[in-house]
Amino acid sequence: MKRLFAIALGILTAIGGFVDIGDLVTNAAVGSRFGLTLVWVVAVGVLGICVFAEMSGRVAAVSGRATFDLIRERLGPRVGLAALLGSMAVTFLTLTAEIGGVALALELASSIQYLLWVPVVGVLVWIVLWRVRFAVLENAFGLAGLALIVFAVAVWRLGPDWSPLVHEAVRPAVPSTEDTSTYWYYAVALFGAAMTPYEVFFFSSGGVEEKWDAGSLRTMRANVFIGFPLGGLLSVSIAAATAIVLRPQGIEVSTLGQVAVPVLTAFGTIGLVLALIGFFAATFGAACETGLSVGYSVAQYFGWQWGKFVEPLRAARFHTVVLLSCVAGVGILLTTVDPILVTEYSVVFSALALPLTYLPILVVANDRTYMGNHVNGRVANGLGTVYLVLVVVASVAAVPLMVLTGAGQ
Amino acid sequence: MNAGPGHEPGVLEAGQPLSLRLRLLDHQVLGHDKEMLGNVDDVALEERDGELAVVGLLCGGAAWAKRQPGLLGRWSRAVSVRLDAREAPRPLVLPLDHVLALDSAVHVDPWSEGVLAGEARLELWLRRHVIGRIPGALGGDHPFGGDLRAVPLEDPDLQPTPDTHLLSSLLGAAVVTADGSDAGTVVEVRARQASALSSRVGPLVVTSVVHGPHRLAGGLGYRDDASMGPLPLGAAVRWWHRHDVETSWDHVHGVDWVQRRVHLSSATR
Repeated sequence: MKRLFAIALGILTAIGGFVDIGDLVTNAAVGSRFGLTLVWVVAVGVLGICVFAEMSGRVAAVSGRATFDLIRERLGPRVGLAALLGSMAVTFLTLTAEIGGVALALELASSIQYLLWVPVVGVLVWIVLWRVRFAVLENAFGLAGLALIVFAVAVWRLGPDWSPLVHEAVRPAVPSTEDTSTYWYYAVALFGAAMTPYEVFFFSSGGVEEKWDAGSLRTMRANVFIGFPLGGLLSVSIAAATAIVLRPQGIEVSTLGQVAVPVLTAFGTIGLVLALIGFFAATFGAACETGLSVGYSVAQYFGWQWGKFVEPLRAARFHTVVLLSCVAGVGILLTTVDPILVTEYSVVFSALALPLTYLPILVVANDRTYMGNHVNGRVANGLGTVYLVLVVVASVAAVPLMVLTGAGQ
Repeated sequence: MNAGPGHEPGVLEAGQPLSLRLRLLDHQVLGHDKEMLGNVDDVALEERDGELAVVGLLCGGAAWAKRQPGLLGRWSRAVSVRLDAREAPRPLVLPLDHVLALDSAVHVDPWSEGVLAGEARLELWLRRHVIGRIPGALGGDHPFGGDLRAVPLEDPDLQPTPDTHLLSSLLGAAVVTADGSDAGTVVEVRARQASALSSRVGPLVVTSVVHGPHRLAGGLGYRDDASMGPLPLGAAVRWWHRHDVETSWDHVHGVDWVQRRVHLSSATR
């Protein structure tokens, strides 16, 4: 019974924790412009993050090594450093976007300008990372993030004409109002939003924090293969909701407030309250995860002591990196840069940075010396290879598409 | 070769060659309670009676900085020198006798734990001046969490001698055959345990070098396991490294450590 409860809790937090500011904004923006014609990318991205997270979680459980440990050992100190700088920059950008997202959610709830909330949020995130236990952090925000289910219910409540929506989703085509290059730009953005590198750093390092071993593999897989796809379904429901309500009016989502409009339309104030709780939990939880992930990746590259399972004084370098990232993230937001814009860039750069973190995991998951009989099977390797190609293609295409489309304008 | 319960079988099997780049260099160093003590930033080698022996591990910023190119390398070396109180700091060489086991990590004995924890100068500085000043900083009662003093170690056993060479300068060194033709660069160095009865890892003796035209992807591990998947990636990496040659150390005439050249004797391959 206790075990079942643990698995259920893991799945629920995986669902609630799946969505972050990148998923919220990108899915809502895509829904309002492209309807459901890009849903297939979310499906591809979610399967990709399942494959990637399952491999890195399995490697962490069996060998005890988290992702950046392996990146350094397989790629060496120079290429490893390039991977570190690239993914740290992206993770830091994501942290900045998440802090901005929390502040925007608080602005919507309080009508106090978000810039006033930014330093408060920065301090709160840091306090949580400094003092709150890892399990509490993961479970509390994951469960509160489930409030976003209101989007799925809203789609139902709005009672759309299903046949054109389904048709769009299963037979995708570029909408006549949009360029092909813009369509593909948003495809890369959605892919990056689903497969952000920090999710894997956090997932595998979390496995080490929670002292996974080979016996934890079943729970881990349940979280990944049930929790992540259901989380992906939440992403799709956000896109569907904006496609139903905003697209007919020609409104393109460019603020967090607009993301909540469909729920407001469907349920009034109570819907808005739930959506705001969901936004807050999802972004705050992700802010904590990204903050930790910056620390995890640097510390693992250099072999420093990291983690919340040791007390702060034993991991002073790790906690210094976490502290500095929170301060710097707040600093960037206080330049009044638009957090939504930061989010849009962060998901595209995620796609750019992915290959150098993905490749070493795929390789080590095949190393019998570490993994014994837990090496990749045929399915994992088949999917792993397909995604290696996809990840490289998305990475190569990201910047040209960004330049070509003026970042999706 | 196990360090205790909970460890997977080690990567080092008696009589089997150990790939130093793949299995030792850039790996996490762990204490007995899985304290993370640093990375293997370089490996110390010494020439003894025509053999090349692996004598120790280098951990820390100074050794890492040496492997970075150009400006970055110079700056990070300067930082690591400033963090060291000694007049002419040299990187610490942890003798291989103190390494208990190798698996996905390098497990060291309790004595080395203390040495490495005291060598982590950036950690100690930040602990004292930054993290220790924040309210709620816990961990002071742990031996490695308290106000450890960075004792400049002058133990001659832990200092590199003039005869100490680095694995990182052997990797990537140009290989020249006896008739002077180019045989690529060193991509992997293999060693074996000198005595199989030891409960520890050392001593290790270099048995061969693998050299070829390409360095890229040489450290992924596809050379050591011919069936390692996924199939397309393995095939691509093995094809890329199809011209690699493994030369026994007996056929190495000598190493020019300054010019980074490995000279082979006439009867090679």
